[in-house]
Amino acid sequence: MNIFLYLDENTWFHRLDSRTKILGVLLLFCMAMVFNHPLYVAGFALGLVWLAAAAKALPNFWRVRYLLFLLVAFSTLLWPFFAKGPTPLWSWGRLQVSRESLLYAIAMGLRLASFVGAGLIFLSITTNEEFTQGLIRLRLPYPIAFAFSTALRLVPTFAGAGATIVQAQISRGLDVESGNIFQRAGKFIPLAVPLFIYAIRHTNMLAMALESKGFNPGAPRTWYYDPQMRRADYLVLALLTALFLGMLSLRLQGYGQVLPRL
Amino acid sequence: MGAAISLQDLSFTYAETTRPALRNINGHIEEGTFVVVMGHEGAGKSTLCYSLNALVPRFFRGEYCGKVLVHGVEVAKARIAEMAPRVGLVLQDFEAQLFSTSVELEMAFGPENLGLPRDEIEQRIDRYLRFVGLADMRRREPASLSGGQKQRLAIASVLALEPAVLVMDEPTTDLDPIGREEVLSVADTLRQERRTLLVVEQDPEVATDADQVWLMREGEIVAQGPPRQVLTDLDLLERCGVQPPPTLALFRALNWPGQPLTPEEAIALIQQHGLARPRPLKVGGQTADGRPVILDVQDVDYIYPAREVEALKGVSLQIREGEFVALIGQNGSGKTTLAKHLNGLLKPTRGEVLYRGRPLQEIRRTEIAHQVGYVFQNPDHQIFSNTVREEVSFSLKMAGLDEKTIRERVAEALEVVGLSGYEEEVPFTLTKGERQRVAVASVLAAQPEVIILDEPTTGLDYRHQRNMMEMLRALHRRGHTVIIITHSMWVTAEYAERVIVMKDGQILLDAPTRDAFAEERILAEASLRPPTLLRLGNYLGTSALTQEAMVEELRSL
Amino acid sequence: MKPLGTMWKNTRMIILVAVCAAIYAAALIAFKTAIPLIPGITEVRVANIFPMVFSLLFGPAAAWGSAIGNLIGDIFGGTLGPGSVFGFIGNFLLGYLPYAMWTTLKPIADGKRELALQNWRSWVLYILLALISSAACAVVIATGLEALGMVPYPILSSIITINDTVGSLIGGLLLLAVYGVVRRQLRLIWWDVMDPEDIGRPRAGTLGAWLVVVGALGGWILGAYLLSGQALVIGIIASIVILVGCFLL
Repeated sequence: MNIFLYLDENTWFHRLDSRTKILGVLLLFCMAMVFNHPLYVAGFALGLVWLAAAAKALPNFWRVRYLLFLLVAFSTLLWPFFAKGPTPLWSWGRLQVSRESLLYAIAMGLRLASFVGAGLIFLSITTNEEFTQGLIRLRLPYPIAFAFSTALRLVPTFAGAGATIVQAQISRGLDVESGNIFQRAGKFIPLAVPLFIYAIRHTNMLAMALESKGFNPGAPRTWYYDPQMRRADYLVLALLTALFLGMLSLRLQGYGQVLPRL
Repeated sequence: MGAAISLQDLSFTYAETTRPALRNINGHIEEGTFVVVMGHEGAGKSTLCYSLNALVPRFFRGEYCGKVLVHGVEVAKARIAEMAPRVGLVLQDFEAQLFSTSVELEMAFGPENLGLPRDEIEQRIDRYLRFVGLADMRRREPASLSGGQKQRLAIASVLALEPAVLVMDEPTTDLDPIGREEVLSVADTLRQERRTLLVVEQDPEVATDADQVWLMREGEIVAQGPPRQVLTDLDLLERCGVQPPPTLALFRALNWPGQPLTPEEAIALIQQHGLARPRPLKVGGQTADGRPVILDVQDVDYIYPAREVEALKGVSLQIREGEFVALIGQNGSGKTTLAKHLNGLLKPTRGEVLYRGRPLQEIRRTEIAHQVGYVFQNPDHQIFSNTVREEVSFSLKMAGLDEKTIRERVAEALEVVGLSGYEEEVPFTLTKGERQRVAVASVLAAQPEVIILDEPTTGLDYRHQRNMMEMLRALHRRGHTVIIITHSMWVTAEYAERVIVMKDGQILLDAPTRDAFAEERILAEASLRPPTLLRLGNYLGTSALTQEAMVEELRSL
Repeated sequence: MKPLGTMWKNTRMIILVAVCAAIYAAALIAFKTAIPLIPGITEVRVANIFPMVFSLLFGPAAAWGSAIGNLIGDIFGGTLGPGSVFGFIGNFLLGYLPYAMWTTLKPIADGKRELALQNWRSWVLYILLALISSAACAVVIATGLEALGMVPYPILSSIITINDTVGSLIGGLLLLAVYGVVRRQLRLIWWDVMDPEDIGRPRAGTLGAWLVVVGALGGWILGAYLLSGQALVIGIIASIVILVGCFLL
């Protein structure tokens, strides 16, 4: 299975500058937080689905469909007991559910799904390289960006080693599937120790190879990727900002709100 | 031509160790020459490599005396980053030298560090990716490449710095035969371009092409000179733990004239002096037909669920009691997938695997460990305990055996692998060869009838490879059925009784060892070649598998 | 506090950040689908045996590594969102507090960096720090997610505290198995890897450590059990106390 969510398409969204994608998804996150009335949030969520379709990101939505469903269901069940509203609907001892808290709960479920959806659109159209490069262009110090992208590169390697280690111990008679929770936890040690040592043994080698290629954390360097902000990028950012401000002013006027909280 | 590298009385001792890793090294490498460095594990070959680009003494601290000059620059006084455009270093472990999430960024990384302008970087990426034959992989993720491709990428990414000297520390050790060929052909092109090249390598056939061979032992250089001079001193090679060129060793033992380093040279000499008359090879080696079947693979297909790749296609196979089988083939040919079916780690998508007539799927996991043992390629994938005793007794504890039996079995297993007295040692501190033995012992302790080993000799030097294989031979003599997966043709020839060649998830050839190696054409389909000695044997029509037997056979003609 | 910044000059430390992050993320992904507690938010995190072990071995690299590793876990899991910011900070604390408080939580700590693993006093400290760093992580994440309207504070803070504490305690076994190798064979213990002048001294270590204790345990217990109606306010105050404590460490 490919663990990366990037979908190699060539839509208009894919071609945006990585800075636009990062700032854009942040604006989408902000928009998802403006309203707490389920109808308004649902409207926004539908907008996201349209966006996902245009960016050809729907396959990833399908991939996490259970997660999306569970998020909405779980949040809807949970929030009524914690957010208090004025119109009681049902009560049982100290537990009570109000009309507003139920609506709020549904809205929060949709909001959570929107977060995941916006994030998924971003991950579907952004390669790891673009992500890292975008962060650097947004003034993230290079060593941190480097550590981030190297970690991304190493995850599949370590995950593969992890799978082999599990098989090696199973063929020596390790039975990970039986026993109570504490016994099982103890059985992670024969798995965790070799993975840990294997990975850490890499450290010295990687550091050597790195310095051999002239790496010097503080020194100036050039970039092979040279992303350009074009008119479309500014346009997208302006549009998203305007949309966000518009939504915000609606909310400040009292629209799209069931409870006086975020 | 001037001196590219000059080593003057270099000695180095790593911090907090007492034994010097390098002792009074002197050497001189002309610009544009190709030097091969050989020697046993721990001879100081890697340390020598590191001393050329300032990793020694800048990254590895320690006691340093003497002087190293690379194109007139004194290495010890330079920073590592300053040496990067002068000396490029490629390491054995390709996983540990790739940092980027795409091939082209990996290529750009070095030049970016040098602060080169964008279009210059673009040119270099293009030039060197084409040079190593990876031009159409630009957008790929390094993690998705094969071993040979990864190593070629590592070489290209170092070449992108355009270093005047290229140093490669055992670049082919972790690769399958195809990957090895790929890397060696890149090295060959570099040599034709007259770049200064220093390569650490175990295979005498590679060293044959060198301008100079340096032989190292215990931190010292014991011989330096053209291959024909160094590689013909068989006693010295032996003492340095280096495999002598098999054809030469054969000629010496027979007192034949000439010093052939390759089978081609040997054949020419034989023809020239009329040393022996080629005759048709008699095949039809012994098979284990009469003995009871232990493992029975019946028409197995296997599809990896996540990748939807058909890894095995209609494989049928019977392993009989007391056989010594070698599974050979390229990475991705299905060897390991097949082996993992033999102890039930993988369940066939179609078909069945029987252990003494019982389907493996019906046998409990903990029980299988006591019937079919499986030693994984990298011992570090299983070692987790703080003492050798604990590590070796793991499967016994899992099976719930009593203290006394465990103690006995552990002692016995350690004795078999030659590690008696190591019970209280910390396994992580042992050498690679010793860790490999601990892994074998920990599987042996369960006393399985069948023992499967995935590449038991990879990463070991010649001497340790011999030790490991002699140990397996001893196990085999005690009645164990042994199955090895290997890339090493000489190991297969000298130790296995039966060879199974895999290609594209199918069995291409299944025959007694000598018969299999006579089928050069079929082997070539799987991109394999018989070992050096048997290439000569195929020409002469001898049925021997080892040098000793071949000497005897040729004498009796 | 100082080594968190100065470590970025050191190649080995930078690589350790990447390696820690990759192990953590690989383990998060491998066990993600196993047992979700709150789907998409948190699960039985087997991977949590790692951060505290990283912390005591690799110091500042563990703080950054755990934070980045958790972020990558979100990226691969498809749950990248505003909550990831709090996940980043929370996991940063999980990797930061154990090593920073190991020497400063006096009088329980004796001020030595070396882990005396045969000493019962060390294990008392270990268990205590497992709880405190987990609670600190939980307070910050729960506060953030409550504010975003994602999950109620009382539920999340308890789940994270308990889960991470259990993880760190099992991690103790891992630490026992690998400490000697990392310290002596691989020589990657953080105070050996970094230059002494880059490590510096804490501003007011003991005060900072106790502030973190008060913020973490107070925030969790008050917010989750005693005054859950005011959970958000308590969470915010506790988070500020924890962060101030961190600055003094």
